[in-house]
Amino acid sequence: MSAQRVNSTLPARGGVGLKAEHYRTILNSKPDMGFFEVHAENYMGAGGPPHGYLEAIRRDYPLSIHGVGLSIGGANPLNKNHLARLKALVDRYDPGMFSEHLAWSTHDTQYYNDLLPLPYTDVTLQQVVEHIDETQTHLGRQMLLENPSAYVTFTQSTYEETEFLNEIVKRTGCGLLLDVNNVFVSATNFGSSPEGYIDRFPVEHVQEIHLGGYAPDTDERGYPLLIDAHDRKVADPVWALYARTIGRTGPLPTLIEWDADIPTWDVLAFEAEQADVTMQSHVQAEKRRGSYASGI
Amino acid sequence: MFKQRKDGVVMPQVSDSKQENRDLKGYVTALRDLGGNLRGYVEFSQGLLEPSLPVPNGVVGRDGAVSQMRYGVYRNNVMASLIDALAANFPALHNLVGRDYFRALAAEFVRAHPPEQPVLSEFGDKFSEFIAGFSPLANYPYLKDVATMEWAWLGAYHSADHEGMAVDALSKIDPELLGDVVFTAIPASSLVYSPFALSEIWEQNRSEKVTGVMPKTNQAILICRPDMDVTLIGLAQDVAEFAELLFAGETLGEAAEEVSSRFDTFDLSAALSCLLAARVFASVSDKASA
Repeated sequence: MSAQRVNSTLPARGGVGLKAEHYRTILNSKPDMGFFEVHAENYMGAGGPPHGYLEAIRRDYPLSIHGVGLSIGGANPLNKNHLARLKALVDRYDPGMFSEHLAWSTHDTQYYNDLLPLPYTDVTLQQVVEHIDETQTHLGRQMLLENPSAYVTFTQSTYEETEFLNEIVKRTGCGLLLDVNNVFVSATNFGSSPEGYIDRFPVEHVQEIHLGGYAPDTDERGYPLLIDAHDRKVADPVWALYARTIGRTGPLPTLIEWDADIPTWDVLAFEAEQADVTMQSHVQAEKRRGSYASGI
Repeated sequence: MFKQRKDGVVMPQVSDSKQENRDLKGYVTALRDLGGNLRGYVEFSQGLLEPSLPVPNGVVGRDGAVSQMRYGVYRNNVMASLIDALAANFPALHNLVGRDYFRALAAEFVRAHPPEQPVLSEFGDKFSEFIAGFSPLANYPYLKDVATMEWAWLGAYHSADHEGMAVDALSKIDPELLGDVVFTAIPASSLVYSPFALSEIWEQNRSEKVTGVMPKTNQAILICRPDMDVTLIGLAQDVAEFAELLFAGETLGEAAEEVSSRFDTFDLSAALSCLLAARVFASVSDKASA
C-alpha cells in the first residue's frame, strides 16, 4: 500500500487541517495543497469511512498527525493504551510529522478534552521530559512539541515558556511546532510582546508552523482576552507575526487550523495559499539581498 | 534530582552519602515540590466541572490578578467541547429534544460520567442508560432506545472493515453437515430491539433509510456495515432472534430448532437468505473443523 503513496515528507508549503466536510471535494478535485494534518484521536477507530477517506487522501498528499489527547504535560503516567493506539495510527499512515502539545488533558481517570496549562518548574520539566522520551521511544521516531495558547499563568512558574521549551528540546531531542497564533493569543492575554517571544524562540528546532483564527473577548478588568477558537480566518497581526517568524526560520510546512464553523473548501485553501505567498516573498527578498542559500 | 520509577511515579533521588544533611534537606524540599505540584493538578482539574469552586491557588491572569473569567475559559472549553462530542455522537437525540434541552441534559451526563480516555467517538456508552434513569424524561421512554440505536450505529461506523463472506460460501459446505455449521458475524453488526417505531424516528431525524420489515411497534433493527455506509434493516422478530442465536455461536441446526419452537411460522430458508443478503456474516465453518 505504501508503494502507491506519495513521499511522506511535508514540503515547506501551506497545508490545512483535514475535515470530513471536505473529503469528497479533495478526492474529486485533487487540489494543489502542500499537505494535510489530522487530529490523531479522530482516526483511532478500527475501520469505517474515516480511514477509507484518509487512506485515499494519503495516497496523494503528505500527512501530519497531530495528537490532542496524550496529556504530555500531565502529572500522571501516560495512558499506555492510548500510546499503543497512537503507535498503530502512525505506523499505518507514515506521517511526515507527529506532534503533540505542551499541555495536559487527563488527570487521574478523567479526560477533559482541552489543552490545559501547566506551571513551568523543575518538577514539571522532568515530567514532560519523561513523557516525551517515552512517546518517542514507543513511536520509534522524533516528535514535535507545540507551544500552547494560555489564558492564565501560575505563580509557581520559575521558567519562561521559551526557556522551558528550549530545555525540553535539549533533554529529549524532540523538535518544536511553533503555533504563531498561540504566541499572539498568549502575549495579548498577558500584555507582553509577541515579537519578543518569536525573537527569543529557539527557531533552529522548529519543523512546522501552525496558524489559526482567534475569537476576541475581554476579561473582567477590561483587558483583551483572546480565545484560541480556530473558528475563523487568521487575523492580520498574526499574518504579520508569521512573516517575522519566516524571516527567522525560512520557509517551513505551515498549517492552517480551522476546527469550528468550518468554511467551504475554497475559503480554507485560500488561507493556505496566503502562507505560500508569505514564504515566497521571503524567498524573493532573500534572493534580492543575495544572501539566500539554497538548502536552508 | 529526580528519577522516574518503573510505575511512572517521579521520585526524588538521594545521592552522595557524604552530604547526608544537605541531601536530606533536598529530599524534603523535593518531596514538598512534588506534593505541591500534584495538588496543583488536582485543584485545577476539580474546578473544571464544578463551577462553584474558586479559581485554583496560584492560577492568575494578567499582572498576577486572579481572574474568574480566564479560568472560566477552560471550564467552558471542557464542558462545551464534551457536549459537542455527545451532540455529534447522538444527532437524532439532539434533534428530538432540541438544542437547549440537549445541552442541559448532556452537561448533567458529563458531570456524572466524564470520559475516561481521549477518543470522543467512544464517549457516551452510558448515555442511553443515563437517559433511562433521568426522571424529567420519564414520559419519553423511546428516547433511551434512540440513544441505544445511535450508539450501535456509531459502533458499526467505526468498527473494523469486513465486506462479509461470499454469498456462495454456504454452497461449498457438504449439505449433510449444514446443521452443524457455525457463523461469525462481521465486526460491524448489532441488533437493536424497541417497543416503539424506531425506524420512523430514525428516518425523520437522521435522513437515512431503514429497509426491511417495519411494524408500528416492537421493532428489531439489524445495524451492520459490510461496505462504507452503515445499513439498517428491519427484521421480523423470528429472524432477529435467529440472527442473535447465530451471532452467539449456536449451530445453524440448534438455532433453527429453537426459533421454530418459539414461532410456528418460522421460515428457515427465507431467514437465512435475508441475513446472507445483508452480508452480516464474516465466515462459516462446520463445527467439527472449527
